[in-house]
Amino acid sequence: MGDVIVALSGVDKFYDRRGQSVPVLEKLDMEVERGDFIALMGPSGSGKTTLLNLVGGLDEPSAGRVTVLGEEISALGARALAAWRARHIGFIFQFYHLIPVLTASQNVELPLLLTRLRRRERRRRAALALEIVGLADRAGHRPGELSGGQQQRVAIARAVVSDPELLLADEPTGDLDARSAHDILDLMKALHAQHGKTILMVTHDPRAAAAARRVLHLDKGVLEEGVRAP
Amino acid sequence: MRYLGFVLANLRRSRLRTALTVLGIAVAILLFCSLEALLFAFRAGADVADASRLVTRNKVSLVQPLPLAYRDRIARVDNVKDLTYANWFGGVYEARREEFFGQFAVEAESYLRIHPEYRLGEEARAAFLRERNACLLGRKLAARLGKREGEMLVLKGSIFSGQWEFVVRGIYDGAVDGANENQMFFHWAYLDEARDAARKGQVGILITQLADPSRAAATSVAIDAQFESSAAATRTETERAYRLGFFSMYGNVTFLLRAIGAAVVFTILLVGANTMMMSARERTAEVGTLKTIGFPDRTVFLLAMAEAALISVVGGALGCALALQLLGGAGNFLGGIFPGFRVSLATASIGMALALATGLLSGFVPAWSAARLRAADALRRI
Repeated sequence: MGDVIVALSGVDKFYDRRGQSVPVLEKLDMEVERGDFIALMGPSGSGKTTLLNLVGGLDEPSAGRVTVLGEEISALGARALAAWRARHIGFIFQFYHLIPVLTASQNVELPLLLTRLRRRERRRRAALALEIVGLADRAGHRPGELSGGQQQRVAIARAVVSDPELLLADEPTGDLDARSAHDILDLMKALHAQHGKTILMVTHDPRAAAAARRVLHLDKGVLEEGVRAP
Repeated sequence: MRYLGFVLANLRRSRLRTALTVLGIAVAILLFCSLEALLFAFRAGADVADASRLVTRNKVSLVQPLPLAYRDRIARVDNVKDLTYANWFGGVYEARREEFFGQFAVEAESYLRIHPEYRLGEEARAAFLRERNACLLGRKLAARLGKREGEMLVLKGSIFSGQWEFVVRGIYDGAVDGANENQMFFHWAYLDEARDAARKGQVGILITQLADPSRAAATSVAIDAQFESSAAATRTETERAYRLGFFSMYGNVTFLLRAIGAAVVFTILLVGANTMMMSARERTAEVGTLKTIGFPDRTVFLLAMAEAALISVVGGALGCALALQLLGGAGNFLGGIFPGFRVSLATASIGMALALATGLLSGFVPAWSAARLRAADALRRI
């Protein structure tokens, strides 16, 4: 048994829809070991993004415990949770969510504004992150001047710039063409294999899932071990 | 400072909208400064009024004259130290009819004696007193009319008909802040000798210098009591009250101007709030992203407030700069009507404070909403 860094125990999640409580996750248990690369699959509405949000501390469970990196985040207040997220989690979204008025370098530097690092050091680290994702030459470009694949790489650089242990990716290839998706998956595999990042990735795409080491299926709130595509 | 670049980048997001908002605030502050300057001008004349002077006029109306003979009876009233008199002339400078300024026929020696706020060189003073049709011009008025000592000035009488020729014998300066340098004084005797017999020996007002200003109220009553049963009953009041009386003829000007000012401020508030709301709504996803990255609610709130504050400060500064630049010399432009009309640094400071306050107020609701927005909800709204 490896080092478990994500543990969900008896987690329920209900959403209030016009006064009615709609269950999304019920009595869910899940563990992620350090250094794992998990693809979380399942039909739309099965609760994949909700599960990712719970692990990332963006949402709180209706019941149960969420422990990540030894911290029971379901018990943290909003301010402590924000600080915890800044230190430990890197997020990658389907639609990149870059700030359009900032350059690639400034977008990558954003998480570092929350640290005590000096400007020069922040810039150095942002440049390094852009170099890792292969976009050192696009540092001064704004998102509108980049292709979808390049924007997603900038978003990945932003996710890793503060060197978090856990990367949470929500459909990172969902908005990309096959070629760009392939590049992004290669990049994520490299982050996992070469930089030791633990990755939890929500995806519909079996090819994306194939990049992961483990596949989990979530359906109607029930989590099952899946089979990796060859 | 580490977030300044981010705030500035956000303001550049929609340059036209930011520019228009800044311009809207600037115009509103310019208008506010103008209104305040006008109010200041209303009060300015009264503020420089000497507390030790009383003005006696006809009780019926300002335009009704008083017999000069009242002078001797007033002089005998207890607490009266000195006395002079004056008459509004109301002439038109035909060469430049647009130049309006106050002209007063005065008993020169006593008038200058009890009005030390008008400073005049000894030589000019002597020349003025010596010559029958001599006149004095305030420094600003002389500059407006382009007149120098020794030059002729011809006015066309509107109350007192005919062409009136004067020689400029002196140019006076204000010895105190707010002293009116847009007036003309000449000899009352020159006016009186040209009048028909029925109107001779009449004056507009009698100005009394008191020995003890703290007894002004009792002295006023005593003066008016002298003429209670006369054909021309009097009304005596402090010089300040007398000057304010001019403006009360316009109605409640202060209230009107303040009401307009409040409407202006409210407009700034709406303009600012509208901009900030639109801006915040467009950026819901970005707020979600910032929060996901780990930006705390407080920082998100402060970033939004900083944007609102920056827009307001720039708009306010522009408005104040325009006001100081455009209205700085308006006192001259408005001539004798509002000699004190000017935008002071105090007014500009109030304008800046107002711009900042309205900016912060208008930014508060969108900033608060952004701060309270949950990251998951914000990302879900896309």
